[in-house]
Amino acid sequence: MKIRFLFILLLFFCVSGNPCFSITKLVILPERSNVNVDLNAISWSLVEEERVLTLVRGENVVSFSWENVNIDSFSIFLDFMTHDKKVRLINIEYPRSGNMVFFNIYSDGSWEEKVRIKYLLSGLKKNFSYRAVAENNEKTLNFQTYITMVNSSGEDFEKSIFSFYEIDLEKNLRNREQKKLKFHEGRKAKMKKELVWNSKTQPHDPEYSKTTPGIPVYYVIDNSTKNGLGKFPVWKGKVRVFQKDKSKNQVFLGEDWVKFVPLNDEIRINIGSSRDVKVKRKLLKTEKKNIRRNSYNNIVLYDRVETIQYTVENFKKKPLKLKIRDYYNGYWKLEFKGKKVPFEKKSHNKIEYILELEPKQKLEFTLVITTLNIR
Amino acid sequence: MKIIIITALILMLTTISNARISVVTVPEKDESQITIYNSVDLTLVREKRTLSFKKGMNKIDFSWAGTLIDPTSLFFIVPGKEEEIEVIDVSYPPGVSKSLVWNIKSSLEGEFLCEITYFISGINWSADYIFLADNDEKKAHLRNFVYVNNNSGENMMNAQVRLIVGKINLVEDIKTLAGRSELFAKMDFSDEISEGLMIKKESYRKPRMRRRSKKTFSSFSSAPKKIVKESLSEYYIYTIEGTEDITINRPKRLPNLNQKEVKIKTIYKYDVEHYGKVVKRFFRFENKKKSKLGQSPLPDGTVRVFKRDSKGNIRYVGRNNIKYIPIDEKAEIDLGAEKEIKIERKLMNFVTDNFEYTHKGNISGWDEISEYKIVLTNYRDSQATFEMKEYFDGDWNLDTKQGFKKEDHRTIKFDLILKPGEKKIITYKVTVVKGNRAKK
Repeated sequence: MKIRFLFILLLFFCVSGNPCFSITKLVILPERSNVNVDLNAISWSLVEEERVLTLVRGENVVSFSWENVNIDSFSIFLDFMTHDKKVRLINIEYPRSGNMVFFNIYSDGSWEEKVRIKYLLSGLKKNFSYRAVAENNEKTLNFQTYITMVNSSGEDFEKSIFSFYEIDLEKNLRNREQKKLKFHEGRKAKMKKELVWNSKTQPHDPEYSKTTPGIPVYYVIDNSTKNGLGKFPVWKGKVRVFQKDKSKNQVFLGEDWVKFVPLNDEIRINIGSSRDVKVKRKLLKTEKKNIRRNSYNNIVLYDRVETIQYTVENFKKKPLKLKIRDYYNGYWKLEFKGKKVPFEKKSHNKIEYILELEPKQKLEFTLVITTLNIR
Repeated sequence: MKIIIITALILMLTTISNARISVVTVPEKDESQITIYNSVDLTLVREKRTLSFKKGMNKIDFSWAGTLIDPTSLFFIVPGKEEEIEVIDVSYPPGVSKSLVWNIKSSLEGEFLCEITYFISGINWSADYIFLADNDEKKAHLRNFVYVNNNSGENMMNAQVRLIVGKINLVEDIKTLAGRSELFAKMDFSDEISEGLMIKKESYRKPRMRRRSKKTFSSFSSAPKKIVKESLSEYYIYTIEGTEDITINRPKRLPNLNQKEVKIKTIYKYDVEHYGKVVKRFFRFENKKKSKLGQSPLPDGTVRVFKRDSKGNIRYVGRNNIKYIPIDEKAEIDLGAEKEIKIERKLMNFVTDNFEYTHKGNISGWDEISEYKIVLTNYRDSQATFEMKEYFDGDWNLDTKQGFKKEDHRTIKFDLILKPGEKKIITYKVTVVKGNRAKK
């Protein structure tokens, strides 16, 4: 499919002040320059370009038309750059044929006028991808942001400025071409690594699993300027994580989708699973207490007391941070039986126990969950 | 299927110009390394090639027709010269499928060793085991092999081979990404590849063919290659000594572990909830130094179990899968049902008692008392370690003379030793409190 973008200058000569409708023979295709494409919006891109028009004193009609591209015709606008106050846009006409507008311009003199045309064009897309390279100690990483510009607009862009946030990139981008480039690199950004065992998704007794269950491993990075990650949010995209081995070769650790992460929020990347950590959750005992009965001897109110034991084993020779996420419903109270571990109440029914495990450590803790006033 | 990877270096003038200089070179691979993952269909390929750079802008064309390369994974770097030789952008030009151009800005001139990495689909590895138990089932000879198969469409010649043991997170299949057409032009422009490039492709392939034929018929090393293991994050890397040719449709199986006298124990289990109403037999061992293992985790895979009989002959016991075993963790191989240990579990008596009533005379609670007799007979000529689990729900209470361990709120376990030919009888009485009497 041949794609064309036309900009035609049509001049009208008006004699004795009478309105005239015949188009003169003079047709000019002015070269465009200083093309700027704003990629900040999602569906439409604001394109600005400069052309030099030869205007005559009096009324001028400039036709702007397009084929095989999708332009929001109500977004088209002209700015006069050379004789700002002596050239005026009278109105814009929309002929029925579509894909065309006429600018009716009044000029106080005959001269060349540089104009800046602005319009919204669809089909220019951008995608984000990220490459994180962690150091062997998993304390810091380099976080690279890549932008891929995809041109399906039907229009070729030569030496154009593509703007995104406060960054301007001069590129050629032909129709149906994709261009990927590094947008930002945060060096030596601090990171945390944590494993999260979730009682809703993980087996409570791994002995009976057909394969050794893996506990999801997360890299957590602060998306902050202070942490070297620039002044930008992290946009939705895929992040691939690598780590340098002893030979300084990068080994792929895993990938994850990241959702939009505002500046100063946390980026969480699930790289994979650890099978060198075992978590076992056992319900040791359950009983009813404080039973209240009605006159029919039916139980109307009671407390349920559950004794739960968690056994955690780190088979690795490295220390690790593990969160055990568990859920208790209703009006509940928690009491440790013996060893206490730090925990954080995340919501009315969600709790996270935060464990720092030494190499090869086996840790066991037991707690009593009393669910009160069950009817 | 015709397999091609073409790499062409095209130099540009320092001024920003679209006109390319006609010098085209197709550099040989200096080194290559493949890192194969077993949890997903993914192999990380690392190629090193020496390329010439001029000061200013340089273009490198890379195309991969006929292979399963993920185009989004292609990455170019000049190790140690990242600041001086920098990729400005990667262009996926319209009208050419499976091809890209790296636009590289260089402040240096000369030849540099460059590294190209990418993900490819179609190469996989798996582990398998040969487990040979002694006649007395106290020790075993454990052999582990790694099997590498290449269906990627690309011969991996003279490559360092590394295997990853671990479960990585992959959100999109590499095969899907490799075949995704919308990344590139929808029309197939493969016929438009210039003849010049086709010639270069042939000249590039020929040395590889020579190398392969030499390797196939020439001498082999006198000992199996060592596999070096190192940990990385949550994974382990097995690096096979030296280099290997991993060719299409020519799988390789390499010995990884060969350990004699691994301490083992035979365990019999009866657990209706997990194994049904059969006695199951297991070989149990630990991936520990004291069991003569424990050097690295054992990857999951198929295990073929053999046993020596009293005359020293080897007989096949069965085949099963083994889970990933971390260092210091115990492992069990399920050998299937054992018919020479018989179990008869009978309900001998059932009583209801202790009824409670509402003031209207309706039943509000009661007890159910069940008496079980379990007869275990060991018809084997060797002692058997037996584990039996029983499950009770609700508010229960157990009365038995046999020792047991309460595993959790509903599970008890009997640990028993059955001598050769021994018959053992276990009885227990379980009282389950029902209705409003229940307090659990």
